[in-house]
Amino acid sequence: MLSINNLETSYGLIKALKGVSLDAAEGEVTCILGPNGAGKTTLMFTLSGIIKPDAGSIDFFGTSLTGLAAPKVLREGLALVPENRLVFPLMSVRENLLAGAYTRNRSDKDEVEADIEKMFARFPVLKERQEQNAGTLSGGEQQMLALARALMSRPKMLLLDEPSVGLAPVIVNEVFAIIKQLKEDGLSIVLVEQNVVKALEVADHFYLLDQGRVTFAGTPGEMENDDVIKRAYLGGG
Amino acid sequence: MSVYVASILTNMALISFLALSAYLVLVVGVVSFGQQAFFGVGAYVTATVTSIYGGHAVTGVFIGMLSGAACALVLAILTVRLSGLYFAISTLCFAELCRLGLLQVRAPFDIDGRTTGPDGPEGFSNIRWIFEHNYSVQDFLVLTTVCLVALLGLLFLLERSRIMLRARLVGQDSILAQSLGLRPILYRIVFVTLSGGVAGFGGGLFALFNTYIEPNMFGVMLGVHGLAYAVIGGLGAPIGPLIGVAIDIGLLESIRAISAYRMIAFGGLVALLLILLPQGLISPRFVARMRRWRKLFHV
Ligand SMILES: Nc1ncnc2c1ncn2[C@@H]1O[C@H](COP(=O)(O)OP(=O)(O)OP(=O)(O)O)[C@@H](O)[C@H]1O
Ligand SMILES: [Mg+2]
Repeated sequence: MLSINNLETSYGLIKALKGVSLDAAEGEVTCILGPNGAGKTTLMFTLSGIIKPDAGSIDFFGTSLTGLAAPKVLREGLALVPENRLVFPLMSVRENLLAGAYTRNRSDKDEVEADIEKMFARFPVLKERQEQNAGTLSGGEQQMLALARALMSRPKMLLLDEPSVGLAPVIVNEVFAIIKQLKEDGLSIVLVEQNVVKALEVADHFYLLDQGRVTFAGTPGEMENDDVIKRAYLGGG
Repeated sequence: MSVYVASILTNMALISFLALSAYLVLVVGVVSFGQQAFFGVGAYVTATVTSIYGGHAVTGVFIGMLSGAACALVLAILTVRLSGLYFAISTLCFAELCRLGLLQVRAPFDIDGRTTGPDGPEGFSNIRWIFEHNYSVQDFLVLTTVCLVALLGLLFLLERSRIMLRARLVGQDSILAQSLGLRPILYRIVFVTLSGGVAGFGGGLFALFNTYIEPNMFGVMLGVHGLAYAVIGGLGAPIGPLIGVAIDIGLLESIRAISAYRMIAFGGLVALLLILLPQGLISPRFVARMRRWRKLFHV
């Protein structure tokens, strides 16, 4: 499991994370809510080693990830699907998938090919388009490709940064169906999401991040009964 | 072939080295306005090795190439944390510092009654290796062309390697590349260093061919030209920058009637091409499409 303690990250003088602590359990979907600018993406970047934290610790299945560079974090089994930058548009779908397996050994070639076939079985639309430039896929298809590519590194835990942003409702349903499937297959997931109604369908645990701090932590039931959250996110009073 | 044509072709080949060096930097997603510095360093070092120490041209150009690469490595390490715009400005400052530095180096030597060696703004004269070894302009054209073709061959091999594929990923989206476990910093350092080597190599040949060099030859305009060739040629394949060179020098220089307005014509052409084809003539998109087609028709 993933355990974050008092994590602080800044961009120059701006402190984006001001001591974030949270846990994500194995086999569960942990959902992080929060308004724009709350620091959700910053948290994802810090966890995956793209930005270095100023203080705090990250523990992942007993290994410390604090301050590790991105390739090492990925090797430890923590993979990120970043927000808004989903695919390499000029590369084919297949090449994008291969790019997800960079941290694996060269000797795994056959296994990597087998994994690509598995991805095609799970995401049939990608199989049809495997030779097409990824930039020509629709938004939903690109999100599927990004998910499949992250899975190519065989992660223990997946970090998803707003996978439903900018997608039509039907496609959002598809994305969540996939997330549900992955959860059933035993994958641990940290899901950053603004769509609380959809998140309630899959999440086991919720955290609310606001201005770089965790302001709420609880189960779906506790969250639905929290007045502040109800007003801000569920449109109720 | 007349000496005039041969010397224009040689100059095209020489500046192609600069354009290819700009290309190597663009591939990893940053822009350098300072490649002329590595070209100049290569030229000065080659001139020093051959004219002062009596070294062979091959030794001279080789050491020139290493010096260009070493300077580029230093610059790459110093600027490793800088993003886009700041990196571009730093490369420009670095190149100007090199040029101003060379203007201060005065160490003239008297060799066989001739003055040679760096002499500040007066430049470095009597780089006589090609005279002493009886190379004609045409011979030197052949030599330069062979070197350029060899470099293209190496770049072609590099282009098919994993390292180039990954460098291009870093160039397209460095954060996405990082999330896949690549180290953008590493690729930037390697490619900027390679670019310094390529420019230094070209600079060395330039010094031998020109027999006289001075710091002001390696000013901003030289770098901007090299960069423009790479940009209009496109980042799809190393042949792109060469097409850029051919368009400017080949086309514009050969139409003598407009040679007085060449800078204006070239500037206009660059602007027009970038409006019509922002990715350059041989763009990555174009190359990807060609590859798809080839696969489709099993060529
Ligand atoms: N590269 C950067 N340089 C400086 N400040 C940044 C940078 N990236 C983000 N910030 C700031 O850090 C804070 C947190 O940003 P972050 O992107 O993590 O928010 P977020 O919760 O992901 O928002 P959104 O829902 O819009 O994606 C914001 O105030 C933002 O302005
Ligand atoms: Mg965000």
